[in-house]
Amino acid sequence: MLSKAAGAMIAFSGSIASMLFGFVAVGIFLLLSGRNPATIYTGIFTGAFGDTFCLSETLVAATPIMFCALAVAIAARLGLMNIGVEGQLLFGAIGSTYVALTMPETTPSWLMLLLMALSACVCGALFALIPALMRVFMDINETIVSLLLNYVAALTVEYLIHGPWQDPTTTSWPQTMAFPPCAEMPHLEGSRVHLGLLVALIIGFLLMLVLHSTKFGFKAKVIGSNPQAALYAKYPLKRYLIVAMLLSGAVAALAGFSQVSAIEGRLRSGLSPGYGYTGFLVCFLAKHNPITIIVVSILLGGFLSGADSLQLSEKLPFATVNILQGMIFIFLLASENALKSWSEKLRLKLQAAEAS
Amino acid sequence: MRAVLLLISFFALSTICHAENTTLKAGFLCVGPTSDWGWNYAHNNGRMQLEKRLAGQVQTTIAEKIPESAEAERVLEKMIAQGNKLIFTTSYGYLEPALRVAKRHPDVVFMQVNRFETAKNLGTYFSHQYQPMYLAGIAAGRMSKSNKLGFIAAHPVPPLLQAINAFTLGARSVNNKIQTKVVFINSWSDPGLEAEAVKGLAEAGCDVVAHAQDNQNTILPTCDKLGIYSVGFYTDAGKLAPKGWLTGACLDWGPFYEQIAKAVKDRTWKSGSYTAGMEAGYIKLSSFGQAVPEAVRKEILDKEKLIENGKFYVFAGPLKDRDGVERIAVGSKPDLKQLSQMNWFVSGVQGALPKK
Repeated sequence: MLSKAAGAMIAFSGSIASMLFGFVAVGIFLLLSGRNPATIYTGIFTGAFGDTFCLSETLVAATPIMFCALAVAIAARLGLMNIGVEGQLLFGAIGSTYVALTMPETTPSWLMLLLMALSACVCGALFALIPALMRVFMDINETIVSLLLNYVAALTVEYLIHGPWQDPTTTSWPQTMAFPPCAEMPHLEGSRVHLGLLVALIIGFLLMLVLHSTKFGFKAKVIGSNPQAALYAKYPLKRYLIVAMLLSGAVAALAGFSQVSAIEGRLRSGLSPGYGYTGFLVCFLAKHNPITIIVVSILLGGFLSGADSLQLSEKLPFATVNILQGMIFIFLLASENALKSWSEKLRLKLQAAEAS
Repeated sequence: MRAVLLLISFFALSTICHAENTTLKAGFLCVGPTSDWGWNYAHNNGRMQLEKRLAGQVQTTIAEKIPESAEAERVLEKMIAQGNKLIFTTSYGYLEPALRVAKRHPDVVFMQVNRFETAKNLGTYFSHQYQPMYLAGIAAGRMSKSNKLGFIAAHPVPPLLQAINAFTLGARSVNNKIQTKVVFINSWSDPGLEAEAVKGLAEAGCDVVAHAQDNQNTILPTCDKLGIYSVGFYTDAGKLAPKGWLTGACLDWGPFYEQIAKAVKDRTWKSGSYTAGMEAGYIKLSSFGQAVPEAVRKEILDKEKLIENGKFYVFAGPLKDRDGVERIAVGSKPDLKQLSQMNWFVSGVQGALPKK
C-alpha cells in the first residue's frame, strides 16, 4: 500500500500540475494569436505577487474564496454537493448587515463584530438547511436545490437594497447606508487584508484536525464514501448530513460577513462576483483537502486579482482577459481528470510492483 | 572618454526626466465593455480623442467591466501604481470607491461622472444629457400615433430621471396627449431584460421606445425588428436601427477630457462640479433617421439653437411633478445641485419610482 503521506503528495502535486498544464495549453493559444505568453503570465504573476500591494490584494481576493471552498469541503466530506455556497454567502451578508444597521453606533467594536458574525452564521446555516432537509426527508438532490437557491439569495439582496434597506441619503442608488465604524473589521495596517483571512486560516486548520483526527471526521468520511456501510454500522446518517450542511452554510456565511464588514462597508449588489462558484472549483481542484484549499485559494485569488492588471499593463481588452480566465479554468478541470486517471494507473502499477 | 560617457548619460537622464515631466498618464475606469455602442463606447471614444488631441503629452489606459464595488478600488490603486495622475471614474457607482482611494492619494486627480459630492482631489462632471433628450422627445411626440412612448432606464438615479422627464416634456410640448411608460432594468446593461422590456412596451402600445441603458446593441435592433421607432442615448447609433431610428443624445467627451487633462498638466485644475452641455458641444443631438420628416427636423433644429444660445431652458419653472407638487418655482432654474438630486417625474410619466 502507498502511504497516506504519499497519497496526499500525489494529490497536491496533481492540483499544481493541472494548473501548470492549463497555463501551458492556454499559452499555446496565446502564441498562436501573436501574443507572448511569457510576458502575459509575468504580467499576471507580478500583478498578483509582484509587490506588497499586489500580494495584499491577492490575499483580499483569496479570503472569501477560501471560506467558500472550505464550506464546500465540509459538505463534500459527506458526499454532499453544496453548490449553494454563493447563496449562503449572500445570506451571511444579509445577516450581518441587519445587525450592523440596527445596533447602536456606540456598540463596542468587538461585540458588534461578534454579533454580526453570529447573525451571519445563523442566516447562512438556516439557508443551507433548506436543501439539507429536502435531501434528507424528501430525497431531493441537494445540488439542484442549493444551486437554485443562489438566485433566491441574490434576488433577496436586490429586494433589500432597492427596498426597505436602501440608503435614504443617496438618490435611489441600490445600496444600504454605510456601516458605522464599529462594524468594520480590523485591517492589516495600510492594506485591505482583514481579520477574515486569519479566521479562514484557523477554520482551515481546525477542519483539517476535525476531519482527519476525530470520530466525527471518520464517520463523516465513511458516510461520504460508502453510505451503505454507514447505514449498516447504524451511523446517524440524517443527523450527520444536516449538521454538515449547517456547518457548511455557516462557514460560507462568514465570507459574506467579512466582505460587507471589511471590504464594502455596506450591503450592495455585486457583493460577490461568484466567489461561491470559484470556491466550489477550488475545493475540487484541492481534492477537498483543507490545507490544499488554502494554497489553491491564494493561487486562484492571485490569478483573479492579477488578471485585471493585464488590462492596464498589457492593454489587453477585457474580453481577452475573460477568455483567458475561462480557458484556464476549463483546462484546469480537463487536465485534472486526465491527471486523475493517469495517477490512478500509476498507483495501480506501483501496487502491482509492490505485490510481486 | 569618461567625460563623453558622463555627458551622454547626463543627456539621456535629462531627456528621461524631461519626458516624465511632460507626459501625463490618465486612466479610465469603465463599468461595461467599450464595445457597447453606448455609454462606455462614448467614454472610450473621448479617451482616444484625448490621446489624439494631446498627442505626445498624454498617455492613457483603460479598464473595462470593472464592477461598482470595492473591486474598483484595486484597479484604481493599480492604475495609480502605474503612474496615472488623472483618473476618470466613468460610472455613477464609482463615487464611494473613488473617494476612498482619492483620500489615500492626494497627488492624483479624480474626475467622477454624474455625482455632486466632491473632495479636494476629486471633481465631478455632468453632461446635460437631458438637453438633446428634450429634442428627441419632440421627434417622438410628432411621430407617435398611439401617443404612448416607452422608456427603458437602468436605475432610477437623478441623471436618468432628468432624461426621462426631459424626453416627456419635449414630447408633450408638441403633443399633450403623450404618456411615457418607464421600465427600470436595475442594471446598466442586461441584454435579456432589455429585449423583454422592448417587447413588453411594444405590446402595451408604445410606438416609440427611448432608453437610458449603457448598451445600445440590444434595444435599437429589437425596436427595428418590432417595427417601432427608436431613440438612442449616448452615441449616434442610427445604423443599429436603420428603419425606425429617430434621433437621440450623443456624447462627445473628447474636448472636455482635453480641457481637464490640460488643467491637470498645467496645475490649474481645481476641484468642483464641471458641466458639459450642448452649448459647449460636449453633448449633441444625434443625426436624424430617414423616418423623420423635414418639417419635424426643422422644428427640432430651431429649438436646438434656442437651447444652445441659452434662450430656452428645459427645466424652467414653473414645473410641477406628476402629483401636482411644485418642484421648480416660477421664473427660476434649478442649479446643478438641485438637478443632481432630482427624484420626481413630470406629469405624463407612468412607472414606479422608489418610495422614500
